[in-house]
Amino acid sequence: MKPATLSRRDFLQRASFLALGASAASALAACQPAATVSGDAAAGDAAPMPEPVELSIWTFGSFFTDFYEAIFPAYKEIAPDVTVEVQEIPGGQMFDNLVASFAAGTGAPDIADIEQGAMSRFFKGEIGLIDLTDLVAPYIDDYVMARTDPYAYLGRIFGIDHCLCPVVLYYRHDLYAEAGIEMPVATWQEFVEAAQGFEGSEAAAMSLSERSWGDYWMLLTQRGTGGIFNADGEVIIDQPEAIDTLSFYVDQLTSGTFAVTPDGPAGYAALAEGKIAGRIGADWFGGFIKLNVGDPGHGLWMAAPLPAWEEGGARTTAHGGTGYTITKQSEAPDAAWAFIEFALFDKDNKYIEYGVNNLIPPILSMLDDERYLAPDPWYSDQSIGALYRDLGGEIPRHNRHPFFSEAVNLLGTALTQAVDGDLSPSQALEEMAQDLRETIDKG
Amino acid sequence: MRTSPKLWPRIEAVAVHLFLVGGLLYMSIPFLWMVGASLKKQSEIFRNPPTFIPDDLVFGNYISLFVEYDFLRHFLNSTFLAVVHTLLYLFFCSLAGYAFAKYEFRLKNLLFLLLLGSMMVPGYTLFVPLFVLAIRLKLVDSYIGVLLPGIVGAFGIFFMKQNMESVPDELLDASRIDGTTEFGAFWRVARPLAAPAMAVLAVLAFLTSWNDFVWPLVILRTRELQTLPVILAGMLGMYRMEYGVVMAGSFLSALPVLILFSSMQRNFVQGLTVGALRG
Amino acid sequence: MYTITQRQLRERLWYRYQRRLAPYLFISPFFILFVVFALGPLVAALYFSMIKWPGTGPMTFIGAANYLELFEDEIFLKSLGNTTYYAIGAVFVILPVALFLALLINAAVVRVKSVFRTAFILPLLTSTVAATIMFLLMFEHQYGLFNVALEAAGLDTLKWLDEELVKLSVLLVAAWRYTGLNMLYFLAGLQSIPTDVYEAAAVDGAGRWTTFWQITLPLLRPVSLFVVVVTIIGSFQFFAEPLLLAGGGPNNASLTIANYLYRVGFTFLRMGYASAVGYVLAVIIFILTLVQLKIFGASGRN
Repeated sequence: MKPATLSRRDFLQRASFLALGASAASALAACQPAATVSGDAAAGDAAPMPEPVELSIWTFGSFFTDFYEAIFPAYKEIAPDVTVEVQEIPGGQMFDNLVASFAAGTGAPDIADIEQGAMSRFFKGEIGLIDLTDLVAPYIDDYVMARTDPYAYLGRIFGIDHCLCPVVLYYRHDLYAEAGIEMPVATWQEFVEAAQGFEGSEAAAMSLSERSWGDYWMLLTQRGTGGIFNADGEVIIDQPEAIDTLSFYVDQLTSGTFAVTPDGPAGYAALAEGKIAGRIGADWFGGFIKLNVGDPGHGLWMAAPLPAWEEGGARTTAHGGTGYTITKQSEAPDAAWAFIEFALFDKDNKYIEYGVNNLIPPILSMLDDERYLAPDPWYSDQSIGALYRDLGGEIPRHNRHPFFSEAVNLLGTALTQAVDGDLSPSQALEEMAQDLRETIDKG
Repeated sequence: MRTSPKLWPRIEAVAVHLFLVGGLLYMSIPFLWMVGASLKKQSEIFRNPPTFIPDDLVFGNYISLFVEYDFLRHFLNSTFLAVVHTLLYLFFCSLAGYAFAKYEFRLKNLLFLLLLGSMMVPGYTLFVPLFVLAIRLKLVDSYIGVLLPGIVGAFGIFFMKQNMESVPDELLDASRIDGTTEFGAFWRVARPLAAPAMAVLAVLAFLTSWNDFVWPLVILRTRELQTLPVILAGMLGMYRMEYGVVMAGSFLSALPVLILFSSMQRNFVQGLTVGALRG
Repeated sequence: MYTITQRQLRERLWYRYQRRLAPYLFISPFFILFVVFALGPLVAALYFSMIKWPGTGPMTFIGAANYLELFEDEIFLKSLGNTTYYAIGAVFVILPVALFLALLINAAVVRVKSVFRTAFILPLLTSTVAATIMFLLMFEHQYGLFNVALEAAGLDTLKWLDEELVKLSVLLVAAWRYTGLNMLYFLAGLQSIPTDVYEAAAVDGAGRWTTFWQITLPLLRPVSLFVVVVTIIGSFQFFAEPLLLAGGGPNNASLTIANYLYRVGFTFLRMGYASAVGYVLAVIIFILTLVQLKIFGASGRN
């Protein structure tokens, strides 16, 4: 067996491989009786002698392991009869092990952190995860429900994200000012016009990937049409909005208005050298820019809402994420959900997680906390947290499907064909839609 | 034109060395870059063209490796597993390879084809059944479980068989006439003659165990028992872009193999002759 | 006239007995482990290849349907083509270079042999993450070292990771990773050729070329068989480099059969179909190995 430590070409810049998540606390959690997995009202029972419970969590990187280990002592105090253990299974291997343990009918943990891109496979066959829809219900007013979309199918929710993952435009404010672009820009159309200000300069206003579908995915979901599937699970990638988005994408690359993002690590080199003056990406991507550009970029970067597709449209979307899930093999699903509530809906625990992995909570009320709102000196003293908070509620909903992995695989091919000019955007997406429908019909 | 008779071999020697140095550069550049990156801040790692010498020499990556990631423990875990694996693998593979090379026995060809055949089905095809098997056999969370399936393997047997074929039969027969057992003939005659091959296999066996990623992740549950590659892989991802730390860990984990390989170098001395052994 | 004592008889019997038994005993550890760890999974996977199963829930037996589907599966056929390309590159480019290097390093004129030997195994000690970053930087279109070098030589720059060239780029990385390893195999083989054979040839006045073809190559046959067979197995199961460098793309141009197997089995959860891919792959490798055994002579020959 060969190890696959990192498994995609742009493993450095893409959300889809390793995830993020953040979430926030709710005072409500304390005063509302939580629904239980087994359906009993917990409130009715006079507390019997608690049986000792052992919970296991699988996660896929030290950025989550460290968080869990940081909150275990506090959890021991409120739930002395519960022992929680975390096992770190890095990279994609965790999802392979999960597939194997579902197939085996044994060996799965109670709680699994599933990266959003790895989720759809678990919708196939008999779903090995517990339906959390009713458990999540008490939180829908405060939690950004768009962050359950990657873990939901046909209205049933099987996972809930750690993080908000709001997408914004990170840009070099000095270069933008030189090019005469005033941020924020209202619409993409206006942005493309303004980006002409970079003509003749070394840099480009922003860049898009020629090969990977992540940038297109962000632009597409920003339109709020649902993405590749509609709410009934039908393929809609050949809809006019999807085709229009791809045409826009291809036009900006062929005209040279936007630059091509160099593959992998070279993409960060281009940002550091000022050859690419802007990128769209989620909160975690903003962290990557800061980390990889380092001191030379200090005070040169800022963030702004995405230009909308039309006046008044959403100015953000979400990219990446990691969801808490509970497996059906769990012998203590109620205890598992109780732990998730503790980790996800408690304001202070959420802040501990932010300290470990910088993930912005998907619970807007938590974001009013000045700990998130402090100006970031690297980002020119801008309060990036305030931007995330203001945009968080605008994240459009989208739909997933058991064949989502197959879909994005075909999307990668369609994108390549359209960018290379082998097919027109509409041909590429129509062909993709047809292939995808055939694949789904075949089962 | 006067050409010294010694000039041509000299030109040739220079050409050979130039060619080898070119190969050496292509082979060692990524390794050298890795060492350089382990001494860089994250913001210096992704430079293009790549840089080898850090502008700002930092040792923080090595410090956090030991302080935050408990490097020493995982290093020792991996070392223990690799040493035990290598010794057992060498012993069992050379023994079986010797048997296939130097004996005629019933079903030999069939068994050998079966052995080769066992290498041909790709690992991922067997992953799910193996996962089940590991749980059923209660191998989970034990070093026995990590080691057991790998103490002998088709690859090593095949390698030793091919290298044992050049062991002269006369030498083996001579030792038999002296009354040694079959095992004695293997241990005292065949094994020393195959020393260069054993040295190569030792390095490979060590590396295989050292880099193994998938199997320890199926078997081991307790973090304290976990191996080095697993810990290194867990450092990458959202908000943990600790490439410098990974490079530091990778460099340190290359050292035992380098030391092992250097100590094996004496086995590569040309000049082992049958005559010398007879004497 | 002589008599055999009881003891001598016993010893002689034991001696004959242990000689007959020895090879079975020597190979038994492998076959015991094989029965315990491999046989069950192999049979299970063979059964999987005849079912339709998304990893959970009911299995549907569909006989040979998975195998038949493979022959019409364009992506499978493409990955088969790509894999064949890599295998040809490995056997006909990487291996001869490795043999050449082994001969050079083994030659008397080369100094500091241990430095070269060590340098050539460094790729095995370089972390995959480091190698991936390094090569992605070097292949990069605008500022990558490969294109900078081409420009310096006055040539057109190339798009190393595009559909047309990506397989070649993957092969360059594979050459980096595996040439030294194969050189080591050959080196070990060269070491076991007794020097007196060369001395005898030198006395007969054989040239270098003759010595290579008449002595070295034939005596290296067992090791060459090993190297070729292992390379064929390895390159048909080639997995990591295409995935890391290009994710199997663009447009599946670098995808190998093993990549496809993984994708279909673990991402798309078509467990049955993936097992069929695995078995077809095994059969291809098996046939190629039999051909090698034939070419190199029967397995046990000297």
